[in-house]
Amino acid sequence: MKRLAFGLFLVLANPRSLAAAEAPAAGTEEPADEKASEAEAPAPESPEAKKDELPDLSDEVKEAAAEKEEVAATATTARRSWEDIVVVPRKAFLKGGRVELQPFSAISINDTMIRHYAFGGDLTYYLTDVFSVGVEGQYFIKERSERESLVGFQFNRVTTLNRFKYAGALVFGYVPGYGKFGLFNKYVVHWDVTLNAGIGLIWTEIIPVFPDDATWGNRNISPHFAISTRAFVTDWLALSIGLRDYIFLDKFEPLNRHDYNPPDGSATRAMTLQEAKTNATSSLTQNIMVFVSAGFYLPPSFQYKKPR
Amino acid sequence: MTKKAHTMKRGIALLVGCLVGIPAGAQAAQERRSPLADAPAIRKRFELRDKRFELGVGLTSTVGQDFYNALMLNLRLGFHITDWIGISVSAGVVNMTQNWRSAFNDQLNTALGSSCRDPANQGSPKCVGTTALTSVAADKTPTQANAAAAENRIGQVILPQVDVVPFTGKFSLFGKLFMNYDVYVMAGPGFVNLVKKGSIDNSYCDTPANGQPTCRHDNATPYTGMKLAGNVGVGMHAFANNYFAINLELHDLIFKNNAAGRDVTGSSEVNSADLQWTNNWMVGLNFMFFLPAQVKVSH
Repeated sequence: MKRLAFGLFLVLANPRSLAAAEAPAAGTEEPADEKASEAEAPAPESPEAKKDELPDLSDEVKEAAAEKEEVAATATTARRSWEDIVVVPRKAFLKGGRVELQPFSAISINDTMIRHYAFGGDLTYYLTDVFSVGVEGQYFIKERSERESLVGFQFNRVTTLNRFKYAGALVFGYVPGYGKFGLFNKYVVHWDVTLNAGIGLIWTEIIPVFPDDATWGNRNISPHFAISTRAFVTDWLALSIGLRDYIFLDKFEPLNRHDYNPPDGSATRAMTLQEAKTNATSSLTQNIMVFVSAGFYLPPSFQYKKPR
Repeated sequence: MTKKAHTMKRGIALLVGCLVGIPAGAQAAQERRSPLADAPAIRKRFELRDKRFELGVGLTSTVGQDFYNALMLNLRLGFHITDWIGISVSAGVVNMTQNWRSAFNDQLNTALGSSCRDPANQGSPKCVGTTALTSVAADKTPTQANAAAAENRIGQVILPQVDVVPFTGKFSLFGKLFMNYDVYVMAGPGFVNLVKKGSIDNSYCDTPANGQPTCRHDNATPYTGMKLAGNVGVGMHAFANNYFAINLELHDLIFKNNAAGRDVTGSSEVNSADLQWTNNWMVGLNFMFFLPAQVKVSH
């Protein structure tokens, strides 16, 4: 009885032994199932064993030997199926089938004349653990740079600038890599890297060279590409930092707005608002922004469906 | 001994055992600690940095400079005192793109093309005659050549620094390819050599109408020479194997500069009062070899 219980315990504690038992072990003389059956099969109970409850050491030695053989068979099987070993076993965080609500803030980094701060959010649904689809929206606040303020003073020229107002986009995501790192070799943090591509609209507005002049807005189609990395803090929270590059054809105030020669040959004059819009100069604009965000996941917990 | 007596004896023994054992067990539970309590997060880890030199070559580039960006040949040499702290020197030794204008400088250069100080424009109706908006001497717009000659650019940088490596780990790409990596922060002094190109013509004069030309000085002086900077940043190594790694670095060089070489304060001269603190970003990509090639494995 005791040996039966011990054998059962061994089987339950080491599920791989079952797999080893089911699959014939290549390269071994004895089939694995025979070894497993040795381990599992209860030894015939003798009348003496019923009388005396002291353990039979010779039996334990046999069991230990059977266990060793079992481990060897399992190891052989593991070696054979090394392809199943993943680089980073057991992801600490699963995203598939979950929704991520991600408020963010951002700052533009590529325009030396005007800086934009953005505040917004992403709403993303993960179709699988690596593919996602979502929407984003953001509102911009502008700040003219120090360099911009010096251009007039140092070069006797003024800059032609647009401000960004707000933007929205449909976004597709792919997670090509994930990993983990040790923080001072004390804590293990899991992270991944995400690539995004999207398309949307961005609303911009002319900043007139002469502040009293009328302004107008543009609405531009804006594809964008992004790369970001995300560190998982809890089952429902991740912190992220990334770069997004928005590309669009923007329209700027014409340089000759106050020095306009009408096509009808009349005297030079300032443009009307409609003429300024018509004669606006187009320029391909890149808006590269650094984002930081916190992602909140719903449902807030997840369950592993696979053993690793 | 009868069977009943034997069962009774075992029951008493069990009861005594429980009474004695419960408090002892509770105390043991209090004293019990996980054997992993003080264990490092990663055991049997390749110590890819500890007591190792790294040396390599690569490229480093300025990002977002006002007037001229620089792509430089970069050399990097370092020694890791422990697995988490090291010292290194990155040196951008040769600026391979001395005429790499920023997008802003391109636009500015176009706008300066109409300067009345430019000899090519001195016959323009905007500069002379009854329709003139300004005069050659009065136009404060510098010529393209003078603007370019006053603007400095980064020639070389030498960045001795301390590297602290708090993050180490491994990552997988597409679930197959994996690399060990580390992320480090760096700080130290920096030496930035600012150079100029061309020379400035500081005087512009009207055509003498009454025999007495009116002249106006451009008052531009490029700010050049070796400058001391603060250097902070982050970097990472991605190890392809135990002795070769791809290294990425992002530096912020903080120093006082007057990149335009022009008056800022309104004093009509260029002096130290016109200097302003600037953040100068640089990104580098290096290919690093670690020596010795053998690595230790931690306990």
